[in-house]
Amino acid sequence: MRDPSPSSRDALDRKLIQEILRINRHLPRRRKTLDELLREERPHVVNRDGTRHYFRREELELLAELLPKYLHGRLKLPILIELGYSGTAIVRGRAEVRVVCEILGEEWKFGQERVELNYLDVRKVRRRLPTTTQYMFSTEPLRRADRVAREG
Amino acid sequence: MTQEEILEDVNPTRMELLKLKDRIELAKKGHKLLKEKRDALIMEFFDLVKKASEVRERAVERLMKAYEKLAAAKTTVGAAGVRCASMAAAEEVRVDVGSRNVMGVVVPILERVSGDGGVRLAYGFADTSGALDEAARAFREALDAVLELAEIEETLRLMAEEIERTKRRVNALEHIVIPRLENTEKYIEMKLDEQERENFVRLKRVKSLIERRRVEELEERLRESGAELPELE
Repeated sequence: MRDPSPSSRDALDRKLIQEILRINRHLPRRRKTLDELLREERPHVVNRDGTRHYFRREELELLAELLPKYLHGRLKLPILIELGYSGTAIVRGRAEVRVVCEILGEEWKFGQERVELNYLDVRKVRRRLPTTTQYMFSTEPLRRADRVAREG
Repeated sequence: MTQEEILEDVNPTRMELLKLKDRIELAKKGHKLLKEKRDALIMEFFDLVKKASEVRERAVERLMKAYEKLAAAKTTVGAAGVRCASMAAAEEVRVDVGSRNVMGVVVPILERVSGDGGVRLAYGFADTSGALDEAARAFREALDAVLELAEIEETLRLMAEEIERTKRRVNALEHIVIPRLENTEKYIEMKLDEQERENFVRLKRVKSLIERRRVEELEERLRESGAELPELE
């Protein structure tokens, strides 16, 4: 399919580049801890695009059971599953790593800060925790190119 | 490479080439990310399809049971009795509608809110039977499954739309944007090479002209001084 005019072709380029730069707009402005969310009547966070992301109470209660009490104030929700590493996903944070390992039935080391998951593991985690996890796209390499895109 | 396949109004300069290289890098990385997004969406979609079929079966099963129980209640208290009891039911179904965001797709979360835990019946004991109570309870259970099914089916519809949109973007990047940017890069490189060759030839030409003029001046000076010069063919 050929575009009708050069200006529309350039607009397509610009639109696509904007789309790439907005790929993480669905993430929360500020993540909340499990403690905070358990105290809320309708636990939710506000996303960067202005939408609200609500959590299911059963999931929060499951997390509260899985983790010892001292980690309730350290577990930030939603847990971010980082994509963009060609076939693997990464979860960061001590409490977050512990939750994921508990769900997958894997061993975790004390002080472990990150865990790498394959797509099968990601599916398992997402099935158990659909509202308390979210996908995030690693845009580290994009940030450098951001300036150039804005300049055109 | 035709003019159609490159960007319009591009100045073949080194500055433009550097900018273009960065844009190509951005487009390629974006393409990779969008592909990851598409794959993750498809993965979620298929999980939901599986879950939807389970929930649908459960909803149908519960509704069938509920209708069986309703039929049993009709045989005990009669159709008119059931209708009377249903009119007494002042209970309203309150649904808590939330949302969650899956990679930019805002999907609904539906939860039934029940103040009394769903145990209170609105009609009296006179002129009704236990079968009617059971039918009412069965319908309440079926309602939960129907709500869950509604949530999943709407999520599936929204995700299918997003998959389609993401696929189109991935294809546009892969088949239109990146090739055009790369062609423009090649075009600029070709133009710059051409300019360099032109400059090289021009410089050689200028150099030979200067050389010839220098020789002619030297010959002139020698002739003026009366020296005899050999005839050169």
